[in-house]
Amino acid sequence: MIKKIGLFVLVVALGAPTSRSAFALGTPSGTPITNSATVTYIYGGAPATATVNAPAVLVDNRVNLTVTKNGDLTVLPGSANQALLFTVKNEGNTSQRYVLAATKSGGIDMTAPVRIYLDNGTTPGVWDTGDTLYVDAGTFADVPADGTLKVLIVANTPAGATTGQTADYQLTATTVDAGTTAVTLETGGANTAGVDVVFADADPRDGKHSATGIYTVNLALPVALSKAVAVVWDPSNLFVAPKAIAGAKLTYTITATVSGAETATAVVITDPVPAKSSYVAGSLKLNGAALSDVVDGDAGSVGGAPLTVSVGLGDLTSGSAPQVVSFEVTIN
Amino acid sequence: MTNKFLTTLGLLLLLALPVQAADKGGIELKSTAEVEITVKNDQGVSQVTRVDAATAKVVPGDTVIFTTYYANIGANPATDIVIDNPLPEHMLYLGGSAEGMTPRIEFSVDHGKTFAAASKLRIKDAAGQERPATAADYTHIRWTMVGTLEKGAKGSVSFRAKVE
Repeated sequence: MIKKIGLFVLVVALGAPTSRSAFALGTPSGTPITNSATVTYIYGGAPATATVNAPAVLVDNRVNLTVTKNGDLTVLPGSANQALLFTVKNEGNTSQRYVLAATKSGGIDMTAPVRIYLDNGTTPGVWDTGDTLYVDAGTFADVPADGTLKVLIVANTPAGATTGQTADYQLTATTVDAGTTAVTLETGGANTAGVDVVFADADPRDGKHSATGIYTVNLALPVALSKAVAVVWDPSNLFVAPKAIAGAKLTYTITATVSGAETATAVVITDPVPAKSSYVAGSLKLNGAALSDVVDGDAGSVGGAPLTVSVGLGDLTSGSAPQVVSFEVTIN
Repeated sequence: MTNKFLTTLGLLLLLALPVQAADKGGIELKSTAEVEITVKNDQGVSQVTRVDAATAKVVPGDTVIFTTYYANIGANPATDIVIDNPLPEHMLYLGGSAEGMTPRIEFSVDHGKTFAAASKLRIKDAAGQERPATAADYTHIRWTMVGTLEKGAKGSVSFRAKVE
């Protein structure tokens, strides 16, 4: 009985699907395809056989590529190294390289120079010092069939830019022969003995593709603030169900979270102490840790007129934990 | 004397060889691989014409037509003729494209171990579930002829397949 089960399993395994190969984006160029037919027959009373091969068909280079933008970017005026992320994909059946170009296609000018980087640094999607500056098609390695390049257009926002202005920048990739900086040319006229080049990319089938990303200037970055207030003590009820009466102590809690793909740089939360209340000295906290009221090495300070609470949060992204600032006041 | 003898022997061998070849096998095969291209004729009308695939641009997705020509070049009739054609690597058979002057065209999905009519072929998927085979599953095509191929008679079988 056990033996039978073992046999059954074996049969199923052998009956698994055929081993016909398949390539995501087609048979690699240079592959020879040969067809072979065999005839068997009876001739003069004896079995005979003959085999014939068709001339080999060499698979040619089907050039195809796409450039897609991975998102637009909201930028502050005067901000440096603002990056639009693009993906260049080799949709052909041959390793290629690419000439890359960033051109303005609409809106305001970003501050020159506008640069192109390979997004191979420590932080994907944003510019960092680990990213490789594009010089020419030889800067980046060959991109295999089905492979991609993550590319950044990096520019500085003009200091005088105003909210609502946009800058459209187009990334164009032009197919280049692998291992060279020579732009790939379609094989004209008749087929040659070697691997020919056929452009199969989107019209006009020129081995080029592009996509446009948009910088939108906005003074208000997508930092969401929520503010809550709680009565913690009053002179009559003390800590039990305290009411907001004169002399009561309130805790204000401000929570900052960042949405979107960008980094909010040098985020500072400022909050004037409410009228008809007095700041409780030494009550300022960031994420539960006390901050001094004076301007010093720590992130927080309380000062000015009207009295204002200020806490620097540094650079934040959507991946940062919510930043919680709290302070206490007494109702006058 | 010795030279003359060798020359005579050589001549005899040369004469004997073609005769032996003709006696050994009656059917000669020729095979072509072609692609269809559209060209405009003198009147500007588009016409589809076939060209040798080896001298055409062939890229993934293109269809290649493989034709095997057979001819009985021997002195005797040939019987029980079966032509087997494994699908070339990197090629996917196009359903319904096999042609030939023969009533039986069968396919294999197990690398030529077994053959059956297209409608009867079944295949097990990765999970071991059986399903009807599709054209893309075929590994071999077989044409089985009925009757006799007389001396001097000829014909052809063909199929279309797409470059993966």
